Amino acid sequence: MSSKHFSIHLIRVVLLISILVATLFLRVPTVYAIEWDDENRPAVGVAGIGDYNHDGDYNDTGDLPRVVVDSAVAFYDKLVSDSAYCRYPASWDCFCSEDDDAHEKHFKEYSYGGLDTYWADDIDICWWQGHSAIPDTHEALAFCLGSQDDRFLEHSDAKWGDYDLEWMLIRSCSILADDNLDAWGQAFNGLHLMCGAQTVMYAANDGHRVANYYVSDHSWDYPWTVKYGWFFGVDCGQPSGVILCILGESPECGNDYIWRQGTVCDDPPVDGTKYMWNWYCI
Amino acid sequence: MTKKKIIGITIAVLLIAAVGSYPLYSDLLRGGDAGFSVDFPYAAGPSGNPEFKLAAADLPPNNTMMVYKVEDPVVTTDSVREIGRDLGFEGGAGYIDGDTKIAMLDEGAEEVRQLSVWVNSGAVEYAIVYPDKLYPLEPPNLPSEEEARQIATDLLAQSGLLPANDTIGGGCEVEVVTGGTYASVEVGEVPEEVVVVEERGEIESEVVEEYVTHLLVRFHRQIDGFPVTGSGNKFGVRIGDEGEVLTVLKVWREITPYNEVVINTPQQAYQELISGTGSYYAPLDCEKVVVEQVYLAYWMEALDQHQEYVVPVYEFKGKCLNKDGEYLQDFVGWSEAVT
Repeated sequence: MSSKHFSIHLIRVVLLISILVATLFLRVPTVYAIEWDDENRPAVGVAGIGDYNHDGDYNDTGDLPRVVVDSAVAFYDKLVSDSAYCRYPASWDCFCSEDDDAHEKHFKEYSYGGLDTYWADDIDICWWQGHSAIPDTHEALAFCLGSQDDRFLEHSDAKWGDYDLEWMLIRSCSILADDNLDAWGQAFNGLHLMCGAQTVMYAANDGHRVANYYVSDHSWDYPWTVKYGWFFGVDCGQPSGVILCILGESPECGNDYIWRQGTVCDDPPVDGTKYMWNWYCI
Repeated sequence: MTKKKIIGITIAVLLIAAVGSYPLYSDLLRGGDAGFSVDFPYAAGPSGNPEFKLAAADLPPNNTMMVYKVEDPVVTTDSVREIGRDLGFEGGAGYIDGDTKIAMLDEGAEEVRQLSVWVNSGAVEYAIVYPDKLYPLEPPNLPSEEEARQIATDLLAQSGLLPANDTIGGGCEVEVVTGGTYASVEVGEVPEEVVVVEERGEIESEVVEEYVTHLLVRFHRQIDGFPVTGSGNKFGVRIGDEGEVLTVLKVWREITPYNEVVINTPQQAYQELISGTGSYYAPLDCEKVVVEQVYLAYWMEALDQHQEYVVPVYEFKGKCLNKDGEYLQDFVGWSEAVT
């Protein structure tokens, strides 16, 4: 082979490798859910926000106790340590964000200018814990004010499930109150279940409790469904009067277990009908 | 005996008496210093800053209250198997969830039941975990309230979980309420293109079909005639189709009297509540809170927490009103009675 031919061949090889690498790192989002190997490579992401005052000008809601961050981290740790979540290559997708590491754009729909296809919609199960607030018309998720994005994720910013996410667990007040159902119901785009509450919720270390229900870590332990784990695990830390709520895309989604712990329904077609399960805490 | 000796002996006796009775008086006067503080819950939503009005007619007259010591729960595989036997479980029991619970499993092809007991509190949880009987896809045939109360009481008595009435805190008030509902809801199609908030917010949800899926029989524990409150105030039985018992959760720490302590007045407690020292949640559009009830209650921690003392707190109940004076929602708040 002449040196000229060798050079051309080398350039082709380099180009081919570059394309392969680019394909790996720059995944192009699509409208409909992609077939992932979720059962064998499940991913979890959590965000726990307690300290809202890093920037000094966000005092609307006040801080939450550190337990909300611990709760989110405990949820993450349990799924990673006892249910083999975030094993390579799914480990690239997983995230565990605390306080101002959690950004609104991580949860915002990609086509609306967000980055959810690299964060919240790039995993299978997401636990969000922090303050909620009503910046406009409906309850929204409150973030620390950063230099790069706004502080509220509103229902119109979210469109989950079109990339990967199956279960969104929102450990905050009133997201699924009657007045917010129509709004947050429209954030479904392949999502199976959205777990939240109709009423106020109180700060507690629920993440550990809920994850314990989800994961069977012994022969005497049975995995509980996403729905049961949310209701039983959160109820344990709430006073009487709190009403928990789950919104689902189909009735069958109500029987989902998390990946690696049981059956998961097929991605349901997205339509205007949602299914709602309410739970009155003891 | 000289006068000096008599005075000396008298002073010595008084000193000994004072030193001997110090623990009693110190606890009575300085209950808060003995570690009786309470971690009140913190609402995860921005609370409003409403004006408060105290409209309660009867304020608690108590100057002192008993603090109770929690007996360490004895939770072993044998004690769990004993409870399991009464509920029809067979086989062994073992630690789960990082050794925080001891559990038994009854796994059949048609049904799976689990019994768990929390090591830190002795709380007992029983549930049919498969299939989903708490949320049947057709409206269930639920018992009447009276029947539900009887079914729950019978099951608890049969399994040894019904507290004896003659023990401290054995008193219970029972109520039957809705435990869960299921509904289909129309929320409108998900738009394909990006739309602005206002446009999407116009679509109203419509509940197409809704029904009660199970009943909840709540047992409200009382200690020495005072109600128990807090996230550890959990004692309930959920009853589904044809009166089947689906779940039981009983958090019931055994207690013994520890010491009588001086408590704040209701007025002091109320001032602490409205100054933010206590704990309450009010929605942002709540302009006014009318406190209609003020009473003493005993605080119980969550079931996975180790609790050493059960201490009294003030509980406040009332209504949140909007700027037009219209009812928004019920109000509940707490402040410490022992400081």
